[in-house]
Amino acid sequence: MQTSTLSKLLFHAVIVLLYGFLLLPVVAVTFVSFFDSQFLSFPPPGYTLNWFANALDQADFVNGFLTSTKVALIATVIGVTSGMLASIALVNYEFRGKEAIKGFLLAPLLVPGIVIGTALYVFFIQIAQMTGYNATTSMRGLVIAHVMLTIPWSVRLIVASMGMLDRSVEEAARNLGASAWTTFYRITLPRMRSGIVAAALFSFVISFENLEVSVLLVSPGNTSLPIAMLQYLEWNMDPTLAAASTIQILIIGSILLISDRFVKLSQVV
Amino acid sequence: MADLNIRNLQKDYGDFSAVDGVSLTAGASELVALLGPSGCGKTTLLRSIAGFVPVTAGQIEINGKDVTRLAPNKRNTGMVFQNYALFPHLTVEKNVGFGLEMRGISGAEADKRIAEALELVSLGAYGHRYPKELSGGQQQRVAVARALVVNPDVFLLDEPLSNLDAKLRQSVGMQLRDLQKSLGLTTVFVTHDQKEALMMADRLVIMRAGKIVQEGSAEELYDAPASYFVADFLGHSNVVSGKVTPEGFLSTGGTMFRCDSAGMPADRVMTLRPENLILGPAAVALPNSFEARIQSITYLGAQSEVTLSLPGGDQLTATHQNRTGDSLTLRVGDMISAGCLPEAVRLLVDDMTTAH
Ligand SMILES: Nc1ncnc2c1ncn2[C@@H]1O[C@H](COP(=O)(O)OP(=O)(O)O)[C@@H](O)[C@H]1O
Ligand SMILES: [Mg+2]
Repeated sequence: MQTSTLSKLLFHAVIVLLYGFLLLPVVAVTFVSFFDSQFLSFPPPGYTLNWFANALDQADFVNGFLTSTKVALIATVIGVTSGMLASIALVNYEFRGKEAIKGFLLAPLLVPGIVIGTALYVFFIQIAQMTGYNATTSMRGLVIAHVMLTIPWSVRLIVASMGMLDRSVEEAARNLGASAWTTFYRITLPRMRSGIVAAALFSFVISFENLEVSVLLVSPGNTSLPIAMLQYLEWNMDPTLAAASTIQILIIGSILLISDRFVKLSQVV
Repeated sequence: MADLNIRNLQKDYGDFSAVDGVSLTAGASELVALLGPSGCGKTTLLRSIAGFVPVTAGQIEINGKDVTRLAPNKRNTGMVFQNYALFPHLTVEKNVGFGLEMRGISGAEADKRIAEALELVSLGAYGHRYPKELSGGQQQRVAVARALVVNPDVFLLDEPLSNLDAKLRQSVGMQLRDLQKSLGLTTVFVTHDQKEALMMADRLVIMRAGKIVQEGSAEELYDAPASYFVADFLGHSNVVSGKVTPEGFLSTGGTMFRCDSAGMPADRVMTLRPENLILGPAAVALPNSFEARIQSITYLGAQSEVTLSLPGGDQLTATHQNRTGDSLTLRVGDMISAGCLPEAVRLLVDDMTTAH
């Protein structure tokens, strides 16, 4: 009795500490974005909303936000769609080279982002020299690079969620007269929903916040928000960045909360 | 109702034959059980009928129509899967209605048939539940209703009772059988449990390593097994090694079991059902009679299993019916008379000890 209450207490304390540790940066950034001082000092001389106004005044940030959103949406749609189809093949069928293909699809997760970004940059330049088409001067280069991240995340999450599905359910549908296609959209797809939602959320966030892969692939007019923020940091040290981050945190938090209404996220990840 | 006709069916995985030249028929409203040890190819055979296994060779006909190369959804079979395979994201009603919808049946007609099917399995009140809100037995009944609502030509069940509590098995098995009979369903069901097969089937098909070793009614197979494997698989049998003689069978231990051995090859084994080995004074007058020592007694309530040691070293087990007031007392170490009728002694092909 005694020991169990004590160990329970300890257990709760560890959990609280862990969450505190994980959330500390989020809390700190949000806190700092309200500081009424050009330089970081503690305790702050006062509080203000000016940095938010300043963040929204930065044309680079607003454009970056729009670019990032567009890139993330496109990369998510492409990555989740192809990742979903690949996952169906990987989970439901036996074929030669299956493990190799799976490894290939997941490989970008193992390579540091900066390496992917550099390799792609070199690759795009060579393509440009050969064909005259330069992907690094448009959003397409960014999209291609981010698809390399959204595909592996989608495959990983959807394969994991499908691993728990029972194939005989699909056979039952066939047995009851459903064609292969009807079985797919009436039975398989609805049961993949949670995996697909998780893949879409992750893909969007991964693409939206990506810095390393993107850093060489942006061009004037096609700069993503994280890069725009990095560039701002070169000349400024004020809490504008903290304000911009707070806005991002709010947006991503809202997306998570909204999607939780449709698919219980706790069942997904 | 239809009949099912399978000819020389073959399913190979590489050089391994999961189903090896199987021919099988099931007549209208007949319940055929595929029985055999795990891995003998029962499920593969059943799934071939449903169309989930692309067969290597052979033919499957339903109602005289060749369906061997037909897609599963074109065959009109109704299958109950071992784990029921209910659609987890659909209610019971929608589960049962799925097959109707696929056949273009909707509206009042569909509602009526769904209600009837659920009524048939006593789940009338559960239409709005989701599968996970039902017990295992209820889920199984939904699976049955879902398969039957479309009036399948052939009803297929893969180990239908294996996921149920031991207590439920008997009653669910009998209910399934009643349903099958009242609807006149041509049915094939798979089981590795001989009790299930004996209880439910009109005809048993015993499989081993992809092949049919024997088929017949429960009585036929139990009383006249074609081989040692069948005798051993259905119920218990004493097995005695030795050799066939003109008078019967001479065990390695030197005991003579008289029986009809005319025309028998010498390399047979002898089997004797424990319930056919009679103990006590009644055994003395039998054509086969001997004195034996009681080696052990296992009390099982209605019966006792008595292991006897014969003078030559042979061991035999007898099932002794326990009756109140029985004057026969059994004690370990005592000598007792034991015997059997010649008809009870079976000389069978030895397909167990010889390499197969
Ligand atoms: N897809 C497959 N690939 C290779 N071997 C298989 C496959 N499916 C079944 N088998 C083999 O075929 C044999 C028969 O299997 P199965 O029909 O499931 O047996 P049962 O239902 O009688 O237990 C088993 O040895 C099994 O390992
Ligand atoms: Mg099986």
